[in-house]
Amino acid sequence: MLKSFRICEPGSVEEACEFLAQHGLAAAVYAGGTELLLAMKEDLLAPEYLVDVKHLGLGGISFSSSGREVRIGATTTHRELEAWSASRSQWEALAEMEHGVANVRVRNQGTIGGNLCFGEPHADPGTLLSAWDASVEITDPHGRRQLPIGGFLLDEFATALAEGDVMTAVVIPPAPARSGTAYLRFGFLERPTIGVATQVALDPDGETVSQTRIAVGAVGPRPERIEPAESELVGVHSGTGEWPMAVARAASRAAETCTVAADAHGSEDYKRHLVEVFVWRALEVARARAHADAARNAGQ
Amino acid sequence: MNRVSERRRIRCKVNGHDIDREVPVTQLLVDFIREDLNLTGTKRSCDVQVCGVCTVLVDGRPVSACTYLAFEADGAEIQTIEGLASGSELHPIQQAFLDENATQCGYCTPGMILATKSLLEDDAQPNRERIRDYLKGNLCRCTGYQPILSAVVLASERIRHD
Amino acid sequence: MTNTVVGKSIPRVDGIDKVTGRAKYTGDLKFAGMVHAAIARSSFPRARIDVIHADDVRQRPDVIAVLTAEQVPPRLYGTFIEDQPVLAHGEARYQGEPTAVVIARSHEDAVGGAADLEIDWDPLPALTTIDQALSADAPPVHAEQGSEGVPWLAREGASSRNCCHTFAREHGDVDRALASATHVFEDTFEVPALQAFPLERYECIALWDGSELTIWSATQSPFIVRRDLARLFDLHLHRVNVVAPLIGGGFGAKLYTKIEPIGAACAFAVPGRPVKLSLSANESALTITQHAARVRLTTGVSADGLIVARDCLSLFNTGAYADAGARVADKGGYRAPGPYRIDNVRSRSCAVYTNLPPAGAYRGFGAPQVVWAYESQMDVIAERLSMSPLELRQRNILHRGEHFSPDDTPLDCDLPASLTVVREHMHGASTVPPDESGPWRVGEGYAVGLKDGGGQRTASNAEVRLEEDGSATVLVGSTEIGQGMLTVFAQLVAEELQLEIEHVRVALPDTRRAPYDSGTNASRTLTLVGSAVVMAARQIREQLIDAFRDLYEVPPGAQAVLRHGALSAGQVTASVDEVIRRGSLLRGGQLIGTGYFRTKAADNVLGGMTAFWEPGVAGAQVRVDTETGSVQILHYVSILDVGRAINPKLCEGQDIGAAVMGMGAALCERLEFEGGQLLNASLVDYRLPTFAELPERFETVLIENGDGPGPHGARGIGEGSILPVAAALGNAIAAATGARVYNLPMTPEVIWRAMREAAAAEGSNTSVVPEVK
Repeated sequence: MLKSFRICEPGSVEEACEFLAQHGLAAAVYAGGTELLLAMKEDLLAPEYLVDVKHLGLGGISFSSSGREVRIGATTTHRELEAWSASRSQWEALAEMEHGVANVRVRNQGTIGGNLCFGEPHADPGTLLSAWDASVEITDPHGRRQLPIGGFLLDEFATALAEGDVMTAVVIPPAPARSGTAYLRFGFLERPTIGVATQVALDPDGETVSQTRIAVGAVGPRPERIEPAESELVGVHSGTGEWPMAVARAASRAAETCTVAADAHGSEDYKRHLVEVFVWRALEVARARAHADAARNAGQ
Repeated sequence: MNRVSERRRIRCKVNGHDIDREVPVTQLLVDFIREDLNLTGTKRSCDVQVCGVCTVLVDGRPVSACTYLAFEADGAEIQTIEGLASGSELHPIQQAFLDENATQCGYCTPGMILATKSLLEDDAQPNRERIRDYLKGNLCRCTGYQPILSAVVLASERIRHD
Repeated sequence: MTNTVVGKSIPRVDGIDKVTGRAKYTGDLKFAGMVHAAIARSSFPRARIDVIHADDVRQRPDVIAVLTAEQVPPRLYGTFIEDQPVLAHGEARYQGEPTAVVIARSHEDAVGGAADLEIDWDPLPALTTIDQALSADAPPVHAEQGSEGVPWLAREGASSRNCCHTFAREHGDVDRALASATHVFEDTFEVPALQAFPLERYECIALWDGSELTIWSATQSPFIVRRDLARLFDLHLHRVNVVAPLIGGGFGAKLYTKIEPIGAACAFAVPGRPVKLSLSANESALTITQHAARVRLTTGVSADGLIVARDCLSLFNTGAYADAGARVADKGGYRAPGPYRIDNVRSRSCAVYTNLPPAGAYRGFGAPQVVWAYESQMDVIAERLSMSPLELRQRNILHRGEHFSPDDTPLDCDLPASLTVVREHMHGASTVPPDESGPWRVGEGYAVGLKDGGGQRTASNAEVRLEEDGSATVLVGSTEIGQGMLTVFAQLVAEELQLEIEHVRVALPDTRRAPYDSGTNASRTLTLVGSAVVMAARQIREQLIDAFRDLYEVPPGAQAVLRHGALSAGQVTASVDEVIRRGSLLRGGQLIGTGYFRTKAADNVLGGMTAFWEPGVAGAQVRVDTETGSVQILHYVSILDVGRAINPKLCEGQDIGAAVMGMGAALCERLEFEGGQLLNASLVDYRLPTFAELPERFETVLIENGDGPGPHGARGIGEGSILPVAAALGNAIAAATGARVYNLPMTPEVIWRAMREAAAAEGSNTSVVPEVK
């Protein structure tokens, strides 16, 4: 059952920001409602105003003028993202990640912005976006700012949002040439126990790893980039025996250094073990995709 | 200008009928459908968007009516289980559920049938994996799912061959 | 007689209503002037109630009344042990115990009032585990309980102060046989508390009109609810009418009295107005659970693999109130030795009070817990003896006609044949060798469960009315929980009276019109109530034939038969309606047949003879991801020895449904408590099986030997198929990985940990990451 509240429909993003700034904790941004309404039903949140941002033109997915940076409006639903990425081969990791979010009904309602703003640790999108060094665009009463995703998701259920802030978009920078991304999710409850996103990019030789990114989510309070693990792979020849050794080192570094908290999804040692397994597996998938991308590029 | 409201007027179509009501903004769609419109075929159970028994179609898309504010239905076309059969003639999905014993206690059935409808509109000939994947957000405690799987396959065949 | 509908998979008669949304469940009913109730619950697992500050809420304009223990009958209720108050009186014994109830004009106002009701609690130390409750210094959950010590519990080092109920059975000389056995195995297995989660939550609507109490409720046992309400509110039985509309799933969770006393108390507070009480999913989880249990088996085995003795100790955590706990302990203890030929058996069990929500009936009634134990141990034994698990079972399994217990009904089904059939199907021609590359390992496992079916000393009635137009109404006290009662009873009557199935209607029960039945549980409805239905229909057939002979002057020697709505004897024929009409000068009438079926009483440990034996035999092939511990079920074969399938498709539905329910219990379900607080009532944190968990391939094999005691040789089903699931999967997982799990559920982490321990025990240095290829 929902307690009493009022709906505020602002005429613009600016109005929304002002209203939010004015009412502080008494107002909450409302988009898909899939997280917010649940928290309100459980009486974890009891805002007096829901500020409906769905009609402010914050939806939609577009390429920047340079053509490679992607801007995802904050109220884009999971289902829209899933459909958009499913039809674009280089975006298979996004399609896979979105497809794994809850169920089709939640994906129809829930938005990417709402998901990120909630800071739920057992979630998928933040992990993949971390591996992509994505940013979020935030509008406040004084203007706009961009924050890297890592500076936005601060802790469980805690973000960098201040009173008066509205997340307006997610910006994904262009993928490196000859690269591939993987997102793997694992769990036995409704929400993920672990999500791992990896990106592998290759040198023009199509074999040597030029860059790797590894992000681990759901096992700790927030998605985390594992830089010590990433560096294990740079310069490694991805088609020789060097690769598995380096992957083993990276997976093991990730398991050692990742922030992990025991909860209903598992104990700490099991989760660390899962980090090792899924970093390994995700790197293998990302490598295969990077090779495919390199081959495509070479063929062009 | 900010428009702040406690109640909203909604004009929508429910199963093809025009509806024009005023609702409190706090009202959930499941309560609007069950209490205000008296369409009790839509059920309510887990209340957290997991079980799927409150599935209705809003502009053809399945949503959990337990976590959807009724005022959002303004301008939408809503379909509930009551709107599927035409007169005494069952929709092919309903007929297939009947033929395959895909309903036992019947509580998940309205939501499961509507989810199936949306699946078949998206993919007229889903394979077993697609069906399992699409419907994994609708729980059934009685049938063990196998008969539902058979019913979805049967319905898709019948719809395609009609 | 021609066979018309029995044995045919006709579509269920309530199917059209269910696929069109027209089916009405309790929560769908609306009455003029209906008001709403909501429950305020205890915040602590054990606490004294100091003050309930009800005045603020009571004075709200939309609140009609607030009831606390002072405003409801002080009597206690319970089917086997009367220990449960309508509202907590003085002390709450579990977190979530109903403490006050708010009646308001709307559901929202009632829920809001209940949430805002302030109660001053004085928390007390709570007992949550079996061990805590049985320890010497445990405070009693019920002060009046357990004054007498139970000697065998004392020998186990346990206090009897929180012992709710004990059971013991023994034959032969167990200690001597164990002492002389070649091998002795002692293993302990555990099962956690579960929620059955029928999708329809608890709902009831109660109305006191000044002379009669009517209550609509989603209950599996309307007559037990009626009795409990009559006793609680000091009414004669004929003034209480319990109506059970269609029920959205039961699985035992709606067996016996649940929320109806609170609903009735509200009805008395607002005479003339119907009061609706609907629980949320979270509240429903606090209403009843499956028993968490610990089962210790000590089994003596001869060198050639014969079980010579078995000593079973089963402890059930029954929570704060007995509910069905006493009988679950009886049945668990009775069934714990397993379906094997064992000359020396001792089995003891105890239902233990703790400060958890009450535990009660759950599909299988104590059997899922003990089958998990004994069928896991069978594979442990087989492994030690280097014998095939199926061979070990075949050597020991009971054959038809042998006795599960010396003073009970001999076995009526063919278990050895089921074992042979399950193996054949697991290794059928179409079986593709599974992929064992990478981290995947494949294994297969088997299990056999057996339960006494139908309940002991139960009585059922049926009434069939044949109208002058040849249509028939069947009145029974059984409820439709999805199992198909409405359909199969229509089939039985259509068969006996040679009617079209559309011309037979089975009425949903209300206790004022329907004849008594003890309840819809124990897989008993078709076999026991169905027998009464057939008797009633046959009585009508006799009446019809008598009337036909009399009214149409059929010669004494000529045989009269009923077929296709007509009677005939030689050249004389008449339609059913003509016969009925001619019997009455007013050209109308009705024939009424009644049936009564009672199972035999006996002076044995269960107090009656078992009506039929309900087996569950299964084989499973699983694929385990050895790196994560996750399990995929590739192939599952369930043998359903149904005696005779009245409606094969409905039988298969019961089989698959029970098996998949068991898969959830085996692999992922567990209610988590912390200090007595339930942490995961919600489906976000409590995972039920979904479409994704459905095995890649599922086979139901119907066995029809006509050897059941029910109509046409049928035997009850519905629970048997859940019994072997967990052990079959556990055995398959052990075969795949070498790791055995003793405590359910077998979540990925549990399996991973068991694999690590197995590897450590072998001293091997198994890598936890994939091998370098």
